[in-house]
This record gives sequence, C-alpha cells and structure tokens, in this order.
Amino acid sequence: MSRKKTIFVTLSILLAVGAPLVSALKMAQQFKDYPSIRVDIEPYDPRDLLYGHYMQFQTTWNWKENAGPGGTRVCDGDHCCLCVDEGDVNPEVSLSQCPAKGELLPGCHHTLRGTSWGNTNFENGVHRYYVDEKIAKPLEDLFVREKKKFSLDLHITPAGKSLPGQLYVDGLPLKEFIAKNGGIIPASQTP
Amino acid sequence: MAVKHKKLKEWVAAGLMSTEQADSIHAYEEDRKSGRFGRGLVGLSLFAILVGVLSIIAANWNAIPGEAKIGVHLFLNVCVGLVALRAGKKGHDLWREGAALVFMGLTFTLIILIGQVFQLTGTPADAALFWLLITLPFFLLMGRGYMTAAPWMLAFIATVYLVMVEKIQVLPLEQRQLLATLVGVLLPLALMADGAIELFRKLRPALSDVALKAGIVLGILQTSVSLAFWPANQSYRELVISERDGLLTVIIGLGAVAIHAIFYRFYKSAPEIKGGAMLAAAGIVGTVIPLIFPSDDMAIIPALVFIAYWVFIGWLAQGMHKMRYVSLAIAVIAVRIFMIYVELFGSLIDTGFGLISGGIVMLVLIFAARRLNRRMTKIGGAA
Repeated sequence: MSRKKTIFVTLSILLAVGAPLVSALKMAQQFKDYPSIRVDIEPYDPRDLLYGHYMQFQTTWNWKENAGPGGTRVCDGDHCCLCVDEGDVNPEVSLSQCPAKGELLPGCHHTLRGTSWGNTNFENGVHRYYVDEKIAKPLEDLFVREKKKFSLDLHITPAGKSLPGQLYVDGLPLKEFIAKNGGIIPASQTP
Repeated sequence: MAVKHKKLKEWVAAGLMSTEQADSIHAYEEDRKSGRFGRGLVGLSLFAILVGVLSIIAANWNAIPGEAKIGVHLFLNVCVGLVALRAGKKGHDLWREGAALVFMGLTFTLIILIGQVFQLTGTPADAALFWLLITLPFFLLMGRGYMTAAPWMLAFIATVYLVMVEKIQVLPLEQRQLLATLVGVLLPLALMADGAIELFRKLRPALSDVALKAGIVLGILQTSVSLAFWPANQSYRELVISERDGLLTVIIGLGAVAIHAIFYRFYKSAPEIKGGAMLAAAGIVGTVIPLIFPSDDMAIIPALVFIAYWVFIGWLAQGMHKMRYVSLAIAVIAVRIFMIYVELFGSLIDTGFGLISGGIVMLVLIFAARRLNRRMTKIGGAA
C-alpha cells in the first residue's frame, strides 16, 4: 500500500470514527447549554413490535384555561407552536400560530415547534425512552398498570426542538428511584 | 481416480474429454469450493459478532454510564480500523475484507449507541444515511471483495428505500407517487448500467458484479411485485398514479434504456448488455402498466401478463446460458399457474378457462420466442 493511500485510509477511519464522536459531543454540550422543563408523561397504545424494550409515552401538557381541548382553535398542522409559560415543572402551555424561523412567540418563556390537530394535541416527536432491558418490563408495568407518576425533562433547542433528558418516577430521577428500591423496580401489584 | 460428477461422467462417456481431464476439473472445483466454504464461514462469523454487538447495545446496560459505553465502542472501532489498515498494507486480503466489514458494521452500531445514550428521536433513515455517508470513503478504499461489496449493496438499497419511505412524506401525494415510481423504475437500471461499465469492472470487479446482479434482481423483483399486486383489492387503487405521471415515468424509463444503448460501446466486453437492456425495458413496462390500467375484476389478465414476463425472463436466460434463471422462471410460472387455480376457486368453469388460457398463452409465447430465436440466429449467421 502506498504512503498516499495509507494517509487516505487513515483519514477515512478518522471520518467514520470522528463524525459520530463529534455528534455525541455536540449532543452532550446541547444538554448542558439548553434550558429544560419537566413535563408529565402518560402511556398510550404504541402498537409497536418492540413494545416492552423501551418506554413509550405521550406528554400530558398542562393546558392553560381555554387553550387546550375545547378551547378556540388558533392554528393547524405544522403551523402550530407551543407557547410555554414560566416554570420548570409542568409549566402552563397554549397553542399559537408559529412565528418566523428563529423567532420566539411573544410573551412566552419558551417556544416549542411541532404539529397539532384538533386542538387536543401537540406533537413534539418525543415518544420513546430507552431503558435497560432488565427493567423495561417492570417499569412499563408501573407506568401502564400502576399509573405511577412519570415525568421527563425536555431540553429546548433555540430552534424550538424538544430533546428528551432525565426520566423521573414518583418525582425521583430513575437511577435514584431504583436505588431507593434496593436496586430493582418494585413489581406491579395490579394484576 | 473414478469420475464422480454426473455431468463429467456423461462428457467422458461421450468422448468429449479424457478421464484425466475430468479428474483435474473435479479436483479444481473441489479446491475452489472448499475456499468458498471457508470464506462463507468467516463472513457468517463476523456477521454473528456484529449482531451480538448490536444486541448488547440494544440491552442498554444500565450499570455502565453512557459516556463509558461510547468511549469503549470508539476505541473498538479505531482498533478494528487499524487492523484493516495493517492487513491492507501486508496484503492479507481475507483479514482486510473481514476487518473492513466489521469496521463498517461497528460504525453503524456506534451511531445506534449514541442515539440510545442521548435518547435521540431520529429515524432509521437518518441513521442509515449518516452511516452511508461517513463510511463511503473507507469502503471505497478498503472494500475490494464480495464480503464487503454484497452487504454494502444491501445497506445502500435499504437506505434508498428508507429515505423514500420517511423523507418524501412532506411532498404532495402526486409528487410522492411520481418520485417513488421513478426511483423504483430507475434504481435497478442505474445499478445495472453502473455494474456494466468496463472501467468500473476493472477497478472494482466485486462491487460492479454485485451492482449488476443487484440491479437485475431488484428489477425483476419490483416488476414481479408490481404485476402480482395488479389485480389487488380497492385499497391498491389509492396507490395508482395518474395517467400523466405513468406516461412520464415510461418516457423517462425508456429514455434511460436509450442512454443505456448509447453507452453500449463503453461496455462492449459485457455480452449480456443486450439482454440487460431488454430486461430493463420489459421491467419498466411491467412495473408501470398496472399503475396506468388498474384492474380489480379481471384477475386473469394480470396473471397472464405476469406469466408472459417470466416466460420472457426464461427465454432471455436461456439465450445467455444462465440455466439457474431458466429453472427459476419455470418454478415461478408453475407457482403462478397454481395461484390462478386458488384465485378462481369457487367456480370450476372460471378455473378451467383460466388454466386453459394460461397454458395456451404460455405455448403461444414459447412458440413465438422460439421463432424469434431462430430468426435472430439466421440474421446473425447471414451477417
């Protein structure tokens, strides 16, 4: 193999290893830099072949009075943004017509971009949370059968995208919840 | 040594070769097959290792922090990449191919791991496209054999389809249908054309061969699926594109076949090229016809067109002396004829007429094909 080709092969290895590394570092930095809110989540029927291998959920938004179900419809589909009020845990939200790209909704603490329909839903694309396969099923049982309180940190990028962060069970971060229960997820009492 | 192979025995008995020649051929083939078996096992072992790594990642071992998992994975990738580089330098082809395959596979599992650690909400198409882009230079530099070419081609085709399924959803329905039909029709043609380019065959014999075969298989598969679903139920009607889009697809597809023919001189060394162009043209027509003329109640006509297409493939394969494809064509036609019976079950009259029509059409097609063959041979002989 010529010296030139050795250099090219080395560069190609660096590209294949470096690009995922850079994306990982970028993600880690984003988690540190971007503000986050904590929102409650609830189970839904995922109709997924891999059901039980990760948590599947939808967000329970804390709708402002007259802003959620039954309220006046102000936007539709991809043009809908979520205006998030002040507060770190379950802040009040309302739907609004999206502002121009890069701009925030006036009077809102955060602006989330996504889709909405029928005034009863805001879809931010966050539905999955990957957990250890050993705890996935008992955790799912706590979530679906026991209806324990689950919440999730959402990191908000400047573009209005939501990135899932820490998962909480009964107000405790998942790791602390497991440690508190002797290193296991307590079995569901509901048949 | 006694001649063992049936064909060799026949040829020795017919006086076409001596027993010594038959023994030499037998010994050569046995030696070649044993090498192939070894390479196949190496490939399967490496595949098992990659699936194992993927399973461990999927288990999402909670006890190890995400950063540590990513760090170990990165270290592993660098090590395997360096093994490939070293094997390439020393000229150990099997090691180079194996390490290159594992390196590309590990790059994919690393992307999956990062997505899992950071709970990314990306789609399979995002991951596959990212992987394809960042491993392409390494693959082009280090992957020279079938062990890397075949999995790469599979991954490439899968990525194209994933991107088509996930990324074109934002387009209006008509544009989506047109784009999907165009890619469906043109991708096999592009693969076949690429695989037949002489320069490509010289530089990357394994990859060009895989591209050619993938194009042929993909084209035949798509056309067969398109024809097989032609008589499907009402829901299929939703997929039917407008006549204008269908005609546009045919024009572009036939244009591609014409370009194929113009570039004929660049790949003169490939005798299959004429057959390839004919196969491509039939594929386009077969794929597009069901889209232009939806058929709900005339199940027999789509079945006959399907049979005609496979008779054509068998005829083409026979002309190219690809006897395995001839056997495949016969098997597919047999299955389709049996399906006519299943589809029309309930009315023996319909079944009877269906089977008789199928048989007659097949005989007519065989007769026409033989006649055409004789005429072509005559013209060729006269020239």
